[in-house]
Amino acid sequence: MRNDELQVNGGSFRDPSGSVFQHEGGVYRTVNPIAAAAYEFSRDSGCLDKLLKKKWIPSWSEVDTADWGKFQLHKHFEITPTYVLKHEKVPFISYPYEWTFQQLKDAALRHLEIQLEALKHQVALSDSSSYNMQFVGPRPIHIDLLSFRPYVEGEIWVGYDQFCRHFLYPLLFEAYTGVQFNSLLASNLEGIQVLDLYKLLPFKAKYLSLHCYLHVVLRAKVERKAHRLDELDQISKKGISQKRLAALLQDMQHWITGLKTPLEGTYWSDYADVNSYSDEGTLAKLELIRAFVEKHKPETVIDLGGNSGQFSKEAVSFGAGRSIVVDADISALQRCHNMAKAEKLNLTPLFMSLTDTSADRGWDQNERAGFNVRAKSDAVFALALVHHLSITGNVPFPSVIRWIMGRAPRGIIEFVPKTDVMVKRMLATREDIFDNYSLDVMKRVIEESGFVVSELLLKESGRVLIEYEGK
Amino acid sequence: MKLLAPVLILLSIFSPPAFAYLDPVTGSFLLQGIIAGFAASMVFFRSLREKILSFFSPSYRAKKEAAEREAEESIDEE
Repeated sequence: MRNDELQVNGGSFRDPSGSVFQHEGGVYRTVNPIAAAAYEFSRDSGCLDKLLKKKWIPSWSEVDTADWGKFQLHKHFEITPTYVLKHEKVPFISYPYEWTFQQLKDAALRHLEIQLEALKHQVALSDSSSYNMQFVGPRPIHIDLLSFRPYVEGEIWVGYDQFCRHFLYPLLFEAYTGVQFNSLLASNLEGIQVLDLYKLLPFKAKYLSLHCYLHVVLRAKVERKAHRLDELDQISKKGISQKRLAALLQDMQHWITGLKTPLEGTYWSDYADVNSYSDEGTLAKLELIRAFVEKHKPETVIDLGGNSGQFSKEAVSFGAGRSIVVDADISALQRCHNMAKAEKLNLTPLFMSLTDTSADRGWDQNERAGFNVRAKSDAVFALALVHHLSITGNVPFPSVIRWIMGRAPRGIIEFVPKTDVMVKRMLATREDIFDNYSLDVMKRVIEESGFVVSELLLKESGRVLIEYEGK
Repeated sequence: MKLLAPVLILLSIFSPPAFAYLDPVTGSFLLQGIIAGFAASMVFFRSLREKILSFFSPSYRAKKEAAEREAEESIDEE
């Protein structure tokens, strides 16, 4: 595809109000005639400006119709839009099934805050999809301007059911069962259904919490009877007052604020350990990261196996724009998110097993992109990682190196030799079938599509830090 | 507070199938009226509690004001 060609985003096809597309690196949104009045209302009511000022939505501008020619909109859209908006680009798209409990909770609370603020301007949201929330560092924002429309007196919270499935139920599930919500969300883009949650929640949750009883048990009872029901028109469609709608949102806020995951590590107690860089190896690593970041000033670092983000934190403080910390250790990621919030660091943790990263999902497998598609950046770190993928994960070593190099044209990869304590422990209970797990193989693979810029041996552990660059 | 749950259970056991012709979405539609009513009373009692606490306890008031200020400032700084 030519670079100047417009690319329609696969995730926005459901919405008749408009579509998202990319053009020459910029992100645009069409506003179709059907949605123009709603957009104008939320713009002119001051709602969008207020949300922008709070940094709860990304900035945008209206593209002058005289400049539309370059998009060749007629080739891609059947409807001629009323507006084309240019959006501030979200630096890295992530999905709720990659978030930690606290991230989903923060996104839920931000969504409710936005609804309450909008209501003050007589604006309502037409949906409550968690896929409309994205993270800029640790900060959640709402990216869909077309969700905003005029509030109609007496209307109910139309996104309530979706809010439950996308935010509330996953949070309740983890809070009460102690099992991560991620795989449940990853296997169903519609979120968790009320009847499923009803079966999964323990007795004490269902019958000792009034909130749970109302939002889960009572709803499940109604739902169970639903399949033998028709005569829909007999239902009185009596709405609720604006005051009650606001109360519903506030009460939801209050309830969600109090939800906790039993899986959360104790951030402050671990914090000191994380921040004590005493050993020689860590200091050498830090020095290399500093030199690398200062030389290349990367916009986005992808920190594979980044644990609680301690090296990402340094990268950001040395001048990297942001870091995406990917790991499969949920409590390390919770610590990372808490640290990023407390210290206002531009870090976004993502939960993922690196031997089973997020796949392409949704309609035509084109709605939510897989990790390989999204994880293209200008720098990658793979520190103390390759042995986990290759020896524990059984992934052929050359394949591991090629995959890491596929994420960015340059980066730092740490080689952990078989003499290392960790690797010895991994090999203690199994046969060593890893003949090609060696520094030589690693360098040879790097030289297939790039070269080794520098090589640093950490004497204490025998580990080697390699900086590579693609051709 | 927690006594209300058993009361509601009893109510739901003995009540006739009032929602006997609903689809799931309509179900959540009707229930929202009930849930919002409950939420409104919760919000009312919480604000009443805050008012009473703020009135009788200066330290509570100071803590609350500080928290509000901090929330405002954190937006400006980000």
